[in-house]
Amino acid sequence: MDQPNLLPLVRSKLYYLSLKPDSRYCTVLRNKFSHTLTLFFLCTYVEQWSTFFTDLFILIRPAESSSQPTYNRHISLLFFHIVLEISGEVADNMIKSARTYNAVRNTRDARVRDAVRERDAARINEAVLTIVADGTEKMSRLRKNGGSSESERELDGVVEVVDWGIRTFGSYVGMSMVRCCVFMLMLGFFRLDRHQLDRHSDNRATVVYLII
Amino acid sequence: MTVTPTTVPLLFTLLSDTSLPIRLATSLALLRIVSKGLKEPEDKLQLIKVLSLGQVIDALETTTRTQRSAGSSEIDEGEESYREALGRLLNVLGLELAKLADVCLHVSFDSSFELTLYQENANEKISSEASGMLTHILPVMLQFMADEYDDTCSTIFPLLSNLLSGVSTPLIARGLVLILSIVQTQSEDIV
Repeated sequence: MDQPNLLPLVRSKLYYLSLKPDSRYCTVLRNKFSHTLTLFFLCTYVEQWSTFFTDLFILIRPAESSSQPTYNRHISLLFFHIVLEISGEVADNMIKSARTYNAVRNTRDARVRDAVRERDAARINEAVLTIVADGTEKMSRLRKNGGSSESERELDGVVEVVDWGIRTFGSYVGMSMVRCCVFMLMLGFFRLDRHQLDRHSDNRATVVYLII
Repeated sequence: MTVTPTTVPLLFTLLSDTSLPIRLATSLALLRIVSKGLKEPEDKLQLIKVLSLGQVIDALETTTRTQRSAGSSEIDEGEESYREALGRLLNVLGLELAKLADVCLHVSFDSSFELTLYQENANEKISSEASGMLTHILPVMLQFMADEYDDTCSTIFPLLSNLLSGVSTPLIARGLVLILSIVQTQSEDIV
């Protein structure tokens, strides 16, 4: 199947399956897709499919004609799983040390790491953190207004997105992307609210003000 | 898609979220930022200063300990795993600061214990700052060490071992003599 037809197929399958009340099939399909797309990515990036991540970001954003105000939950999770699998495949030292050394694979891993670092690392980081920030805001809103079983289910879905988003962030942050992540951390002005350190606001908490 | 300038508060918000998986994932992400961060000592120190993890971990350690004391006698394994994650994070933070400081630990065994750190690193300013930050997290390290659960207590052992390895042999001997004299005094009281 050629590249132009693959991603719309992914989108359509995940979207229609997400409408089913039983989402087990969606989860299974998403995990299968992420593994398959990862293997496909490792074979085709950069020479044949240089816009892999750009195409994925387009799927994550809600369509202009749709009523969805935020990022597509299933495609976001698919994106996180793909990045996690790629990190595990080319950068995770524990997994790499468990394998028998193979010079061809080693060369491929280095090539992919360098290419991602050079081309897509910053955008991947932006995408992950943006989706996580959006999810965090939604979590806060749902917890304040929650109560119904539907909002509980929605909250569980959002918690899953934020959880996987942070795991994805953690999977690459120690790698090549630290300089870019740290640079973004150090930009701008930010303040840490004391109540963000303490879930139970009766306790004393340290107030940290960071202004750069 | 753009990154807002609230990434650090975002991470710290998630570090104290009500969802346990999110807290655990965030502490692991912060651990990886600190441990495999920047190679230049100045940049590493700046990163650690920006994150101010020592104060954050101190506050969270106090909160989790207080909640455990106020709670039921049943073990909440989820909260214990969170305390372990905080301990591991503190351990890595301390080890990175120790590297920057390249400290040699001196303890005076007078009536009041006085803990002083001096640095041997050529870059005095970096070492001095790192030593100061390391001194500030030592009380938190002791709180984890005093935890009743072995898994939580043992998370800071690598840092403790690193610090104690800098203690010179004569001082170890003096310390042992002091401990033996205390033990002897107590055993005489018992007899």
